[in-house]
Amino acid sequence: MVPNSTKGILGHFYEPADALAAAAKVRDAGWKHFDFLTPFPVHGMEEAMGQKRSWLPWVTAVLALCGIVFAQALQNYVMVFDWPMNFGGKPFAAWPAFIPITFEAMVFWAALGSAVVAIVAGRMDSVPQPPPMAVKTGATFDRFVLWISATDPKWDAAEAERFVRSLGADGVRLVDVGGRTNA
Amino acid sequence: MTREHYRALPAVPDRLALPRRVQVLSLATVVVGTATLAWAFSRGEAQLAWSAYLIGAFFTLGLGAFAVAWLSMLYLTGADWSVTMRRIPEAMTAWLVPGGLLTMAVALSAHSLYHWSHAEAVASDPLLLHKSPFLNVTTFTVLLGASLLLWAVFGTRLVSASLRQDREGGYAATRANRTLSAIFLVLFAVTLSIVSFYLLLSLEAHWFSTMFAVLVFTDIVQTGTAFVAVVAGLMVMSGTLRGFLNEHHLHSLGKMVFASTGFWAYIYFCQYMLIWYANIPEETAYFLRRSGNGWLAYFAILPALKFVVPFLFLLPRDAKRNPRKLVPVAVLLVFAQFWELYVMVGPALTHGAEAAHGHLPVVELLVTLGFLGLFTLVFGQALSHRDPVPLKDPALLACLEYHS
Repeated sequence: MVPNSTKGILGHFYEPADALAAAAKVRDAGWKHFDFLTPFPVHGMEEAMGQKRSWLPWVTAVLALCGIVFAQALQNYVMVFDWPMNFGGKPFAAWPAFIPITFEAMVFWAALGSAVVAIVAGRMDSVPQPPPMAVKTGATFDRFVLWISATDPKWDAAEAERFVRSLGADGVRLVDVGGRTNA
Repeated sequence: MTREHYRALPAVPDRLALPRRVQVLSLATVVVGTATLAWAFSRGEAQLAWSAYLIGAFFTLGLGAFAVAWLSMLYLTGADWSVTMRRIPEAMTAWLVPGGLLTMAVALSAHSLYHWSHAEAVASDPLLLHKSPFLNVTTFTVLLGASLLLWAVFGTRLVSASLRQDREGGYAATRANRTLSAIFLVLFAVTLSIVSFYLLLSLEAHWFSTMFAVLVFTDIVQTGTAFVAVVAGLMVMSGTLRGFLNEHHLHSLGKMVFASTGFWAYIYFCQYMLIWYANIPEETAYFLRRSGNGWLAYFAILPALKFVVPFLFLLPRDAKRNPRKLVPVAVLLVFAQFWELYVMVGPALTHGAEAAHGHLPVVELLVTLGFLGLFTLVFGQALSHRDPVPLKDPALLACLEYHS
């Protein structure tokens, strides 16, 4: 599951540009467990939040290679060693005929594998999110919502509230829902 | 509270011009190319000279044709990211008039290059006789000329609407170009097929391939995007369009170059595998000719030049964004197009009754470089006569803030 935090602070912004500027300030102030909930992907948010590049492309590359090896091994084993058959006088190890399967297997392994890894990794390697349903943010509608989780190492409720207000955020609100969530 | 985030436009740069060094180099290649061509003719090597001419003419014609097709695709897809680099393909279309005329000169070469142009050969060959309503010099000249004229007309229309927008602003020019683009792309599919059939496929008039026109399309897309990447990459490196053109735009362009390598491999392998599988003598002759008589080495490195090396090199994200990495690969791809044309044209020629032998394409390369030099001069001339950025394009702001 995506980790949830029961405690934290929310602040609203109304323009993507403001959200970007705020994200850069939160990053520079040294906060780690923070996130921006936005109605649509905001270009440049990853850089502004100081997020590193994902390692997922490497997973895709390795899976693609595995797909290639799998398809080649399977076809050569079946068509050359296990049950050789003569198709139109072509050689048993007819490499051009193996290419489409190899290509498809590569795409299949890489695409599906990456999707699965992305979902699993996204659940584990994520900033603790605000408690779901308990908090109405407006982030699915017209707000760009900054969330700082209380799990952050430098958390201090009063300090966090002062800081978020200093960013020019609207509707700053401390959240503490106790044990009511699945965190 | 927030309008102050919307920034003012960066300082608009001066008119673009080719650097002096590039101009001198281009002029030098034109001189060398012309001299090489004259030398080959004077030695009585008409076939060699004309084949080199055909390679060079088609190489540069492809760049011009690509520019119109690409502009159409960008208009149709609403490619905001390309606005600040649009002057590059616009300037490339300037080649279509001089380049079209130079290509038409290939008609003069018909007897040296095209077997089907000899009446006595057609008379004794049922297949050529059957194809003669399409394959004859008159139809060749008319259909080729009409296709090239159509490209030039659409290229001029697209560019002039864009330049009108520079003066008047507004959305009308974008809308007009969008309509024009939709019409052009349909016509382009037909005319590019005609041009590629006449100029390249008919070199071996007995052979046919349903993949051929698509293959030529992937070729010009690959070469064209690579050429744009060279120019745009050099502009980013030199800071000519600072504030207007950055690594995000290069990234999108690099993705197109990258995609074209995979697309080429897909289509070329398609053509190969269909012929390999069916194993029909009329069709396999094409690849047999390219694996004997010293051609195999030239043929075999083609996939490395056009796919393996550029694909692996462009795979990391940084290679598409960093002009220092993108430009060298793009140069390699431009060279690879020459190589492919050489492998298409060279083995198709016969010396008397004998098949042509594979040889280092020195004459072909020099002549092609001459064509490329002339293309670059025409391109630079067109570039320097326009505002460097379409400042009144409605999508300009979206382009400036573009994130790849």
